[in-house]
Amino acid sequence: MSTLAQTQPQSAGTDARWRRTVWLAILCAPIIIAAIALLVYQQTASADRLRAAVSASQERRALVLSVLSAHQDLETGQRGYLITGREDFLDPYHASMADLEAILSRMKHAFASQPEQLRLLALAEQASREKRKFSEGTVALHRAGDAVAARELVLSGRGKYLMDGLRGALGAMLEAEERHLGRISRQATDATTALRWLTLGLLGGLLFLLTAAAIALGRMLEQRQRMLATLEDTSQRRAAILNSAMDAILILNPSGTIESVNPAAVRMYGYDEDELLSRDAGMLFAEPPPIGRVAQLLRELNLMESEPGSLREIVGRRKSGETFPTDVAITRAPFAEGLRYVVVIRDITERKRIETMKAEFVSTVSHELRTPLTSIAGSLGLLAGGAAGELSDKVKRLITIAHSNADRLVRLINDILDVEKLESGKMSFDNRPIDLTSALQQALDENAGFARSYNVDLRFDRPEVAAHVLADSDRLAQVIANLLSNAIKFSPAGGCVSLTLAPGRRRHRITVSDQGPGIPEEFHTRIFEKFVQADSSDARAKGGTGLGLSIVREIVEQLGGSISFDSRPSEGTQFHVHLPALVEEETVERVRHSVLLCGPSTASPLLAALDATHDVHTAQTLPTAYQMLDSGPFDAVLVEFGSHAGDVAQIVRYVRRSTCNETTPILAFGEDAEGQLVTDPALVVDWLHKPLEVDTIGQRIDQTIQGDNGARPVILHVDDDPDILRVVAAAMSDKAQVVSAKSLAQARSAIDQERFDAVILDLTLSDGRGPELLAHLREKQGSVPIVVFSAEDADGANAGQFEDFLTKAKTPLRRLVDVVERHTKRQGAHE
Amino acid sequence: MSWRILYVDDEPDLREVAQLSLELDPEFEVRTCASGAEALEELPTWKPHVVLLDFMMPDMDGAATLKRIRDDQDRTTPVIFITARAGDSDAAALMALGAQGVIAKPFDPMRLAERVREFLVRD
Repeated sequence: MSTLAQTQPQSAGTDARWRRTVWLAILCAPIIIAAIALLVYQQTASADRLRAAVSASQERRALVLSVLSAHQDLETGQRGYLITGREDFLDPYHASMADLEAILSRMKHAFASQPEQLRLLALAEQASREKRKFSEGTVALHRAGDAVAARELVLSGRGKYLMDGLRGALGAMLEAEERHLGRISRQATDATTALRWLTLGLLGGLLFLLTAAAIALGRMLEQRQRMLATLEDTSQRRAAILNSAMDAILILNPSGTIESVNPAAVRMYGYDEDELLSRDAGMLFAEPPPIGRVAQLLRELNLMESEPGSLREIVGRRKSGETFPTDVAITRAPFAEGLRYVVVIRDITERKRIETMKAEFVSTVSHELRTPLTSIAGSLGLLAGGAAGELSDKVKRLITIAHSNADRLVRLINDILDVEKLESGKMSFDNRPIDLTSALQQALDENAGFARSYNVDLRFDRPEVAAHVLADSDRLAQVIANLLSNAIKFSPAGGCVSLTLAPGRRRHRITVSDQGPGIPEEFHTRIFEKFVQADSSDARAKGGTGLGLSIVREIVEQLGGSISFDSRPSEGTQFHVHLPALVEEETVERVRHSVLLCGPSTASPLLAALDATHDVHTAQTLPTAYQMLDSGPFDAVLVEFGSHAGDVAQIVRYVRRSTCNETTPILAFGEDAEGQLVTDPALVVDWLHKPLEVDTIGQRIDQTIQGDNGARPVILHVDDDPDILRVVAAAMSDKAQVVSAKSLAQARSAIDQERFDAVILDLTLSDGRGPELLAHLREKQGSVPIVVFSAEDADGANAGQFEDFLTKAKTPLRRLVDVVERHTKRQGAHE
Repeated sequence: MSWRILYVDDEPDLREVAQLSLELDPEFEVRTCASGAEALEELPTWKPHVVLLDFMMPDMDGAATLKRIRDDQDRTTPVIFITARAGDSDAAALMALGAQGVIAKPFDPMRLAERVREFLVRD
């Protein structure tokens, strides 16, 4: 864990640096490559240019040389003619004469860009022309037959002079051309060299970049590898933790299906992994719930995100069928792939066994201690009591000390045993109705002697009205005796301890007040803990065990009550015990109400149970029922929803139309009740749910007959889902009578016929939206509280119109019941 | 009139303390037995008015002894259990075995005779 946390940020930093390098390489490499390509292209182009320049230069040289060679041809032809006098020798002469002008004009063109050459060319041209003119002159003379003049003209050397001039100009041109070519080729070489270096440089850069990228990639891979290794190590560690855990660890998906298990789960439950995976977790319960129940449980847990769920004890079942106690902790785990539940299950068989052993040990030790203590305390008691004759004062004093301490030891052991019993739930409570006034008087009487010994006055303010509680009289006496003896012990001599009983409607309050020094502030939070005494030396002098108040609180709580105290230094202390009031049973003489039981299965335990307290008539068929209903009034009609669904509705209508039974309350019961109920909900007064509690049905009938609706508010539930209607009615059945309506139409007719204490409303119904009822509801029923129970989330617009807004998926049924009950009560308080 | 009291306990010290306590009442004549078996021998001959029976004894415990007293010899003699286990919940169970009363250990030696007398007067 820690290694991962430390290395990750660091490696992430270097990783980014490597990554940058690679990206840089990827971006730069193509640019460099393009540059190199461009350079190579330029190099080629310049080579081409050079080649072209060289060939142009060679062409120009050839032209220069061709002028020379044309003149040589011309000279040769002229000489041949002069010597032989044959016209045919003049052929080259003529050809050259014809070519030369063309050659010279081509040369002008070829050397156009070189002014120096043009100048030389002009010289050459002039020389060439003069030479040709001279030659023409010579040839013309010879042709005229003056061979001597011609020969003399040749001998004059002018031809040679002209020829030399021409040769000189042409030679200079050749040299200039050579220099020109040299310059061009030097330039080309220089350019190529520069380009080559540039190319090499770029290639080097590219190489460097690629190397860097390669290194970076390598590092990155290495880092990844390391991270993977770390991750693997981490996951191996976690797997090792999971695999070596003693507790079974399961991962469930929201529908309660097991997705993964650890080896401990396999060991604990005895199933193979394959037998557990993809199965409903319900199979691990001692009593497997129906499929889907686990999912419902998970939803109802309402766990906060990632907050470990509270431990709960569940009895598990192994493959072998053996059941065993487990502690189960459930945690919501929002994984990437969706919500999961991590369930940690601990086999607590051993703990339970040890707890039992400990309890047995404590119990045995205490019992074993009691036996010798009995002898010791007994002997000392006899001595102190003077059974062995008069003792000297000193001996008597010592004996008294020994005796009171032996007594204290006995009390301590008794208290330890009590604590043990209370904690292990082995303390049995024989709860019966108790008249508190007389119980308190008795406790007071029993402590009178003790109070006298402390010179403390005991007072009891008897209330004017009787107060009854359901409690174990011995335990209650123990509580009061303990509080009284505490109060007495801490009272100043001549002080007064008063016991007050304040009867209440729901709870009675018993107060024990003393005028002692009060409980120091710092002990207020711990006063009910075991072995906590405000001043241990003081308490020891008072003979306390330090367990009394802890036992008192435990007993009071097990009696369904609570204990608290007020204490101010030097003003005394009041301990208040609140016990739930026992509502007086109706003791008025029981009238045997007449009941008509209609339905196919009238011979049942129900009939037997009712028969004892009610005057029961039965009708198994419709005609019998009609006949009975016509024969006289009944106090109640009980209709069973059986196989003949239509019959029930007919009976209900018949009752309402009959002359002697039109106001008789109808109670309906049955499994598939919603179909009938919603046809005319207002006609049925109460709806009993199967399984019927045979013992209480008589009571329910009587309550209905007496119109005891103060105790049972009537609630209208509007929802188009019959399952929701049924579930809510069942959940509320203890607290209220629920009239179910499946549509707006049914709800309207119910609103017209009956007054409701609260309305539970769904927003989406088959024939419209729930809020459409509002106007009608307000008109007929005033400010009846409305609780929305819908699949939709509250929206701001209409949320204000309702007392509460509960969303189906998010609200456990229990909460709905609480909310509705609260609003119903508030409504009652307003009226 | 003197009352014959039989005290049965396996603890010799306690037998002595109990005897002293009971004899604080001048009308009580007290004998002690160390086991249920001894008590069963003593009963038919001495015919005590009341038997104080320790509940936890080796071999034959209080319950077994009481059963033998009731079954075998069909006696109607009142039997009172003396027990260190007398939580209030146990008392009812012990009474259900056929005892007339239960006295918890440790008892108050100065009041033991008084408490036993309650059973005698009631008879």
